[in-house]
Amino acid sequence: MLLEVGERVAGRFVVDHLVAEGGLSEVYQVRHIELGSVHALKLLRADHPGITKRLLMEGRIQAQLTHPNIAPVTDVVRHKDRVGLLMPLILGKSMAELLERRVQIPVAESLELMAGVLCGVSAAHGAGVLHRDIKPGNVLLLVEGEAMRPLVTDFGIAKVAESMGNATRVGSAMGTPGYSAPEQVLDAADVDVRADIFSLGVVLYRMLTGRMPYVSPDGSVRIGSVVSEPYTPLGVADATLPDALCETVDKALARSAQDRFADVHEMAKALLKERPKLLARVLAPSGIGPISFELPTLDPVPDGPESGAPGVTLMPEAAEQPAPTPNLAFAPAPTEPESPAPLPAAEEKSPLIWLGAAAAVLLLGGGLWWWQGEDPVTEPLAENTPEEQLVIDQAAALKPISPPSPEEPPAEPVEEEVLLGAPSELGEPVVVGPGPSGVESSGIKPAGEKPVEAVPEGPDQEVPEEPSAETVASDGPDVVEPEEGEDVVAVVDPAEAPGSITEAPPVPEEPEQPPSWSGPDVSGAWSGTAGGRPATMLLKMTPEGQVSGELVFILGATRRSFPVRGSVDQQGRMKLSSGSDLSLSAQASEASINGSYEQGRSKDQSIRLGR
Amino acid sequence: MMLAWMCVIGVAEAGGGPWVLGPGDQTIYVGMDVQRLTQLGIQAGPDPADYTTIDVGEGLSSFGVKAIANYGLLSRVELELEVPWYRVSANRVDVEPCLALGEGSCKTTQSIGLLRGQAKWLVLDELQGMPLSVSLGGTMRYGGFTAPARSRITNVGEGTTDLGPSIHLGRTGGLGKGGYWSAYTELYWLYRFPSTDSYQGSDLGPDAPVSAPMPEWVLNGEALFSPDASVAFGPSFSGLYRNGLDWYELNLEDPDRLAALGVYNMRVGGKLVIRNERGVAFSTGFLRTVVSYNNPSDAWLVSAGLSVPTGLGRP
Repeated sequence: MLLEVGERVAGRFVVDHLVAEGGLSEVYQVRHIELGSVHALKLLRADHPGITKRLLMEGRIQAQLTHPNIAPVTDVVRHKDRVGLLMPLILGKSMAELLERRVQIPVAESLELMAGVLCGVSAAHGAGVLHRDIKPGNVLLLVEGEAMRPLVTDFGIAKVAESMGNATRVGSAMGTPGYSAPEQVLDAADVDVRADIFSLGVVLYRMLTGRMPYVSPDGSVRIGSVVSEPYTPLGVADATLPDALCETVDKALARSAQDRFADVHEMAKALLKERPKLLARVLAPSGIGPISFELPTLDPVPDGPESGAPGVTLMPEAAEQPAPTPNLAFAPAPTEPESPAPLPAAEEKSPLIWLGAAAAVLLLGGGLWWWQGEDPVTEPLAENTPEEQLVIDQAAALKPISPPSPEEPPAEPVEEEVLLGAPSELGEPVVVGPGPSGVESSGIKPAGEKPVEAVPEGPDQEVPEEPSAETVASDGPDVVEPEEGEDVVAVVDPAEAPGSITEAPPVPEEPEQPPSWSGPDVSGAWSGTAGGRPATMLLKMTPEGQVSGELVFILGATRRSFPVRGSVDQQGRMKLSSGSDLSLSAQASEASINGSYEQGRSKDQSIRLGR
Repeated sequence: MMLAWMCVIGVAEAGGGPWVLGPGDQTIYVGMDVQRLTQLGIQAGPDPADYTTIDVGEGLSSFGVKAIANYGLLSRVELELEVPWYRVSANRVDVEPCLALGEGSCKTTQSIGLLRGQAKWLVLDELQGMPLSVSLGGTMRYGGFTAPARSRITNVGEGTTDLGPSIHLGRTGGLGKGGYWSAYTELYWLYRFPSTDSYQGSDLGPDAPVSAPMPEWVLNGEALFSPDASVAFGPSFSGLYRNGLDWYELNLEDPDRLAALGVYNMRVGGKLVIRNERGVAFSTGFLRTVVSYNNPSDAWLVSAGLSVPTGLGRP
């Protein structure tokens, strides 16, 4: 049940409004009653032991990983029977939104951003934490003047050494399709730092080319793509990229962990050797010791960090603390499998007790048992986190932001508390529920509402002007409901708060290339209800957004199918038809299709399908 | 005899109800059923009080397997073909009524049963806004394989070729969150090309010939409740009516003696379907006779089978 505006939480906070919601959690903007400070509260939807443990693990990890490139968590809040994490509001966008808008990022800017990500991941590794879900949606970009500071977030499935009581089940596959390393796909409990290296390589590949490195022939990216599909070398994907850069990315994306970089520092040295200032940032001590989970004694590594270049300071605190050597508790194991094990079997939704009865029938009957046709989806897709969902569902009005000049020192980290929301151009926000004005909005305050005031800490920071109200009208179905298991982090686009941020035009380094398809990939099998009846939909999509497939109804013991054809645009608007019998219009994301269909005299029949 | 007929109209798995497969879609059902009966209700005399129940050979048992193929011919037309095989046996052949019916009347029979073909045309479609789904159908059965053993009480058919129309009504709807229900009823009329048009009972005069067998009415129905797409369960029923002679009117020397019987019965039971996301469905069900006339009065039928969708159009 959603919290009400004005509702008290934990006796210390009052709810300003709902920012976003996902399958497992909701994010609210809350205000400290006495201090007046504004925060983001990520509240679990229900008190489920396993999920609560995961959330608390996420909070503990991020709370102890105090680093400029890691999104902070400041408190754990309990409200009635629900648990939540308190975080500062973050002004910025996620990298996924940036890529959604710009598709490809120039090399220099990509390396600048990647250096920040490497800093954060390196700090986490140094504290004995594997992220295991690195992807653009889990990298927030904090706007600082004309620069963006990456913040790694969502350690929800992070692995903290061996002694924490790992919540990962052996044999389980976790992570995001296309970003998870092959060994993680096969067994999420048996990965080391090189799995994060792989994910970092995918992120960089994506930034540079606008495409994913391991793709199925039909253009889809599935959880098993990294195991079974061929790899497109970076130099082949974009022949204009420097050879050294291509070699570095190719090595990070090696299918076998043995062939990748051993740790983030090694990758950074290869990636940033032409950019010593960025390299120095990555190699500088993080100032974070092993986080307190009764970790075993960590062995120092011979390849210690280089001293930072003169004049470069990552953060003030680092200079005051002793510099621990990077933690290699997750050093590569001495032996690695040469070839990946077969993929785990797809999880069946229904009980398999009928197999025994089927075998008995076949033995007795010996009949006509044959199986035709391909199962359109051989393994289930991993669920998207809400960050990914947010990007997929919305086309943010992003403006390019130029990177800082390489000669300028990076801005000091400043906590800015400003309005947080989830803008949408489509009117298809993940956020549900009315805003303060009673109108369904994306979370951005309408005009007249008192905005959240920034709390600058630096002497030169401006107080952002009051953002103008924007209510995003929805022209599609009501709400896209994320799949269960999705997590939510909301980020506001500073472009939606005019007057507060001035963004310089991008520095053109390379000619703009025609954007490739960045809309939702609707290929695959969908199931749910159509007009109240169980239905499935099997779809195939071309890179141009043309769709064909069939809609199948379950009627008693009969399955009745209708071929459909149509299109989906990059905003996910889908229109399908089946001769003159059936027409369907829906809003599609990577995880759901919601809309309506008409068939004969059946008008406005709802259709709600999920992966 | 009625036992074989019961085997034919068992727990329909493929093609039940008015709904039809999509064009080009196919399903294959492979199943088995087991029946058991020990008593036969017969009208032993002209007086209604003469209706009695007799033991049948210390019990009759049948075991059958069948394959049913369904094919969506057009967007609203479905074809179905059933091929069964049965084995029917009596526990004892040296007891009544085996003795009364003569040597070999309770001999074990193993044979292909009634081959059945059906076409169904969906004329009203609830998916297109109609209040019900309604199909009209036509059925043809071929019983040539059963003819040699038709005089046995353990027969698997009466050896006839049958033809007739049918009507099927049904409706589905949502149930809670993610669930659904479905219900249908269907009525068949089968003209059974008689083995003889001049059957005469032992007590009937030459002016009262009857066909053997006479046309039949069959009524089936089922309701399924499904909390989600993977499981469904519910009640089912099946009934039969055929005009003809009473037991006491039969010429027990005639090979079509059993086909000449006038019978009716009603059986009720239940069904369970478990289906996976690929559409493969395991179903099991049972039927129990609750009303009968000149038919087994305590018959149980249990069936199980697997239905596999094949040849679904893939994008």
